[in-house]
Amino acid sequence: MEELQLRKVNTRDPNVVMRLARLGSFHQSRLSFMRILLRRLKAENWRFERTKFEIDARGVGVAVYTAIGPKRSYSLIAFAHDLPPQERSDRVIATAWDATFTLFDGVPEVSDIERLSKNIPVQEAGRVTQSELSVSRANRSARLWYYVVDCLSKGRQPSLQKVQDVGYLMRTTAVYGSGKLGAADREWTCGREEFLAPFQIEMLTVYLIRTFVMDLVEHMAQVRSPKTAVTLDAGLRRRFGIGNSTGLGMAPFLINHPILLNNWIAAREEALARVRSVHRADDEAQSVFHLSLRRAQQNAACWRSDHVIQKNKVATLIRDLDVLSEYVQGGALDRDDPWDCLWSWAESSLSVEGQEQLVSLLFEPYPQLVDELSDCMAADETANMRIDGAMSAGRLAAITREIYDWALEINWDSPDAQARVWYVSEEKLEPRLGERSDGDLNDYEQPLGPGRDVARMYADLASCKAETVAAFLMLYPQHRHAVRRTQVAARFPYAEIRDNTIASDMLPIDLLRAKLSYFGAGHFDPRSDRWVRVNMFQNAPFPNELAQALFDDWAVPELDETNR
Amino acid sequence: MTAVWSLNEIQSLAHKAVRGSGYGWGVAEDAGQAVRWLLARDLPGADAVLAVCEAGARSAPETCPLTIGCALSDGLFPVLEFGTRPVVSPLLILPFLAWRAERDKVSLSLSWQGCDFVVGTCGELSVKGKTLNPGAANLTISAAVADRADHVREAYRASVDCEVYVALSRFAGRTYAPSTQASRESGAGAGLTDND
Repeated sequence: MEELQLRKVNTRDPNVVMRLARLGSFHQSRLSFMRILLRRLKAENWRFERTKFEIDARGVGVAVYTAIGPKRSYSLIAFAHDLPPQERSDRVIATAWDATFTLFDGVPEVSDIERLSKNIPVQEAGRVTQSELSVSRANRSARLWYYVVDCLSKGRQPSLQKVQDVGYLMRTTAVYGSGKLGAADREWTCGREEFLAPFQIEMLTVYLIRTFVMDLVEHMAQVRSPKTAVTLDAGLRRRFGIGNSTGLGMAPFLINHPILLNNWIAAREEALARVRSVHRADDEAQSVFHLSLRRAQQNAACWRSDHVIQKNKVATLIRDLDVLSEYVQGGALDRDDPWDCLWSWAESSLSVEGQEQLVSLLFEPYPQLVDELSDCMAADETANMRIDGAMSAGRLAAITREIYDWALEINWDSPDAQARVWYVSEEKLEPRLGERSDGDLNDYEQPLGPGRDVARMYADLASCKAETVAAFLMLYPQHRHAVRRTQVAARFPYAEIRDNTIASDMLPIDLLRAKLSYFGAGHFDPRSDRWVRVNMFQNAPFPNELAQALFDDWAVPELDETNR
Repeated sequence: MTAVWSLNEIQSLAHKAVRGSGYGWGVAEDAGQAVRWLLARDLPGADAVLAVCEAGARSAPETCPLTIGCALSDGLFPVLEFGTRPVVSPLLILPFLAWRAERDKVSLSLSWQGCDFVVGTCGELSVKGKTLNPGAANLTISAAVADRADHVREAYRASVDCEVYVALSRFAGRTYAPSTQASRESGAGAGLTDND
């Protein structure tokens, strides 16, 4: 094992990694937040109890699920509603949902549930307290929900094909944490081991939502026809995930949290470099890799999307995985430095989509090299956002040229270069993307085009006599944002996306996919260039199955009979 | 009437309000963090920043606490050369001075008539006096010895007067683009049915 611990290979160049097209090709991996969560829940033997399930025949009521860890407990409080189909919308502008949720810090009293029953069902129109860690809502997939209720009530199992076609009975349209609507701030919980990795509160919320939704669908079949109804077979039950419908609201997140972005990417790049540094791949590592590859091939083959961009990407991925499979079956893993050689081959033989899938596959044989890096993915953003005013103006110019050379080469006077405007709409207070040529939006522009903003800053810096950054900012306070980004990017190599985020051909779904891949989502299904649906926790063991399930082996389905 | 908010909510509100009153995004980011810092120590940061928003970005930079605060935390000049100067909403200077104290590893005192703060090198804070948030004051910065016995406990909630919240929201609202039919339809990217 000693040889595993020496890293000979360097991490990848940010200029290669931090491009939108590559970020938009990321896949889930061992460092995804859902997998980190379930590893912990299993390793620490968390227990789960359904302490309340009071849902009537119309499907209206409340349920409580408590997760009990070694030090603390958390409870999902779920409110089920009877929503007329015409009111069902995934848009953030919706005002009613099929179900609404909060993750409660501890075990709620009756008075807590009473208080929350007035606030959670109305979501943004309500208020919560420091006892609530998240607020969320979900809508049914109408096409699958009624079919499954119908089948189960008649004593039949739904068809696997129909289940696979949709993949979930409900999809969340928002999972709010970090102080939203009055919920607990991250500082309140960030000292707890179980919430050290990012988004663990949100992932635990969704994991428990999935359990509730499955119980609810079986309950609805039961009340419809108590004599004939059956529950879902365990194997089929696992095929249901929770859908997630994500629009532009999430897109600016990665730009607004550069240090967090760096830490996510840096952990993944460190893991890749560690695996590439392994001198010999033993039989077990090879066998895990081969199996993971076959599972990825099967998984890609059933990835459905109607979006032309995604269809092409999936087709390319399938072809890449075939080429990869052929290559590694020819003994390519028996040589010295097998993974580094494989990587070099992949860089010239696979598309970006295939390369990034390979990154995830390379992690699977090496949990001992990869999994601990999940501890490095959180960020103290406040402490690292202070401007270093003592830096010389010359040094600022030098790091700007080094990090933003791509932005300094863009002709920002060209209409295509800044065709888009990120703004926040008065109506829903959500991020939106507009066309600059439509006029009227310039005054409302959000600082989400770092390339252009830094280029403007650099132009003034070049013509300014100030000797220090502090003096420069006294003369040009309007560049404070760009200077901060530049200094952050100089300290954190993967903090900045090295692409034009306001260009005419920019695809917001690239930003969405990058973030959702870190959540651990698969089967990205864009509905437009700025809105994507995914599935979360599909194939994961349910809470009552965790103890018996294989360790962290759920993210890609097992091989079907035909593929074994 | 006072209501309780998360620190994130008020930081975000202050950030947008400062931008909405005419400051650049970068200054607004520091202002949001400064307000959060104050609220986490149960000091009236939201009230203080509202006064700055009302004065607007065109008010004199030499008395503006955000301009002075940024210069202080950036280290534009040796901190003890500040001496005594008139400043609007001087409470807002406190977080910037605390960041400077941490960076320079020196304890500093910030005082005006009726109030005296000491910030230490590890974020400690002690307060003496009741005039926490004057509209303007002659502010003195000097060297100090941090008094660890009397430091302010950190809070995780923000108590903000509802009128202050509403007033800040009006400034924040200036950063929002009015909705049009076109933006409703295309801005968020929906279009296909989402009820399936």
